[in-house]
Amino acid sequence: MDKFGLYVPQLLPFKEHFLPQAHSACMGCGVALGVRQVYKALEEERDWMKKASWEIPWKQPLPGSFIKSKKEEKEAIRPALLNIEKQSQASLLICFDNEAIEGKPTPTVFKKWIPAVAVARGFHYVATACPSYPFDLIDKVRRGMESEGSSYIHVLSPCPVGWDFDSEFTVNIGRYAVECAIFPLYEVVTGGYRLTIDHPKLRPVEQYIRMQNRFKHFKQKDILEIQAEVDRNYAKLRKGEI
Amino acid sequence: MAKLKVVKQSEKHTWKDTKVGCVLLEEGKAKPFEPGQKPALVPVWDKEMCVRCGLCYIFCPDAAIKRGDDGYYEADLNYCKGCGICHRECWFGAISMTEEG
Repeated sequence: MDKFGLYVPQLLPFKEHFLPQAHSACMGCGVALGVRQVYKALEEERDWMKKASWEIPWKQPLPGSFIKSKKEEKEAIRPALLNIEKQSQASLLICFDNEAIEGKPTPTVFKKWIPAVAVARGFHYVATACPSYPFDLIDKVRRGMESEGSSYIHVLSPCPVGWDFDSEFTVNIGRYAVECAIFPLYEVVTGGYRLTIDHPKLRPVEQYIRMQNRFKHFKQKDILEIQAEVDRNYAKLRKGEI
Repeated sequence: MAKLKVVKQSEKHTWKDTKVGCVLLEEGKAKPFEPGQKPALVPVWDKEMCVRCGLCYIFCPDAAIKRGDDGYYEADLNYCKGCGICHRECWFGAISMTEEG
């Protein structure tokens, strides 16, 4: 059976229903890849979702999303938020996180971990996913649609422009982020944590950080601090204590 | 349903093209547009190396890769942006990025 695992993509529906192929995202965009996989998962729900007059109920945040600072105009690529209504009153929220911030990233400030906020707020199903693991993402979207209450999925989507790497590494970098546990893949069903992909031997964080030019100014000391923080968080997550 | 007409700059949009009362008979969507861009590098499949697994198909962010009747995959160059993810992710090294033409 292991030999045929490679052929799993052929089990997915081949028709492209929702993603407008002529979208104006950059080449190698992680958000476009994530949205495409989400809609592959929602293939069966197509009939009642088609009632919206737009073929794809999704706002493209990329062109013309500007944040004006006081001194000069700066461009920031914002994360997209996809809100899919279920048949009940609840909804499925999917955030495509491209880790965009204004200015240079600093090693001492970590990003707000929105899945933890969603768990504390009482969402029935919370999960993190990455388009580098497409079948994991598709499973989670389907499970989020099936759960009774509201559900939230946080998708890491690498951004070649914002993170400053070559566009062919989009999928590769997402895989590195999961393998060095800086972005762990887990799901929370009514308070119980479960890691969906757990590598026994983790990569050092340095490999992930040195792949991207946005972290070019980080020093060795900063990376050691990040490594310590990541290890602490991941040890908690393995015990299910977060 | 009539196909949405894309007006180029060379063609002039005259009053004859508007419907009575300026009614829009179709909803707006991005699907019928064909950008027709030409990427600098284009993926080319080596059919001897390809095992038809479909990994390139699932990882394409532009939904440009389609399966032909014989089971092999092909890129629709109208939509392909030449990002090179398929070239990087192919396990068997069957896809090479080459200059078009």
